[in-house]
Amino acid sequence: MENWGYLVAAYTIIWVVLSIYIFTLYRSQRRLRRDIDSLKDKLKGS
Amino acid sequence: MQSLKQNARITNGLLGLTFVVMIAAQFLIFVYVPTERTMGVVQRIFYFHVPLGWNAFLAFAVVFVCSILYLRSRDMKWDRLARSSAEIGLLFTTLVLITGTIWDKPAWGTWWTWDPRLTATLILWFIYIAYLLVSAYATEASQGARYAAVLGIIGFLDVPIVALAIVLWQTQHPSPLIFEGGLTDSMLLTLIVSIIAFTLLYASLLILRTSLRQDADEIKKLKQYME
Repeated sequence: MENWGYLVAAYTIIWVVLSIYIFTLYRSQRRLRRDIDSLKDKLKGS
Repeated sequence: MQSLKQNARITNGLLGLTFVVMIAAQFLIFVYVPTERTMGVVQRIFYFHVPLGWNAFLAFAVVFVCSILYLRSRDMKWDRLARSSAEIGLLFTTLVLITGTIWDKPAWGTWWTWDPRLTATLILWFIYIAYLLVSAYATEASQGARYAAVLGIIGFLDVPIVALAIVLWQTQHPSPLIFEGGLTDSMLLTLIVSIIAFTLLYASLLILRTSLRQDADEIKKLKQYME
């Protein structure tokens, strides 16, 4: 019984979903770094 | 805010190790391990499906322990850890359900059946969706943390039901082959390496997600202080 289509579908879905999640985390990290820099600038200005 | 820099090095190191072990796991799954005779190539889904399931259980066990620790200490660090672990556990459970469904079609001839194992897993998925909604939409952070902790403890009761469903009830789902010695040496090795790879991935994501929550909380406090 050859069912390559099912295997490829499962494999693709796993890595697409995990990649989207990891990308979302790194985007949040970048946003937090920008917030930290903005707070630092505000503190320097005050 | 220190955690962002402190954890970045640990997380990057762990992600690097995860990447190497994951590549090794992919080699074992697609090149090394022989094709199973009855089900054919689709059986290789097993080497993703089982590690994702085990790590979902691990994630919810972490939620359970952290929820108890939060209720005892009221320290928000346990809430952050529990919520991060629940999010990753939910992600892994979603993938378990999807890969299981894709495997069901060629193996059982249907995408879904109300089998005890599948039904209990779907209930588990709904429990942790509710957990994340409760913690996200509470009016106060401490209230959300308290409700979520209670749900994190009660919700964990479904984990042994999912794990034991294949023993307690008559089910279409395969019996625990690993413990019955139903795997050849090459299959067992591939499964173990894949479990290690996904456990490393879970640990990396948990550290990253928790540190992001901690930094977001600290930035929020600082902004409130400065206004």
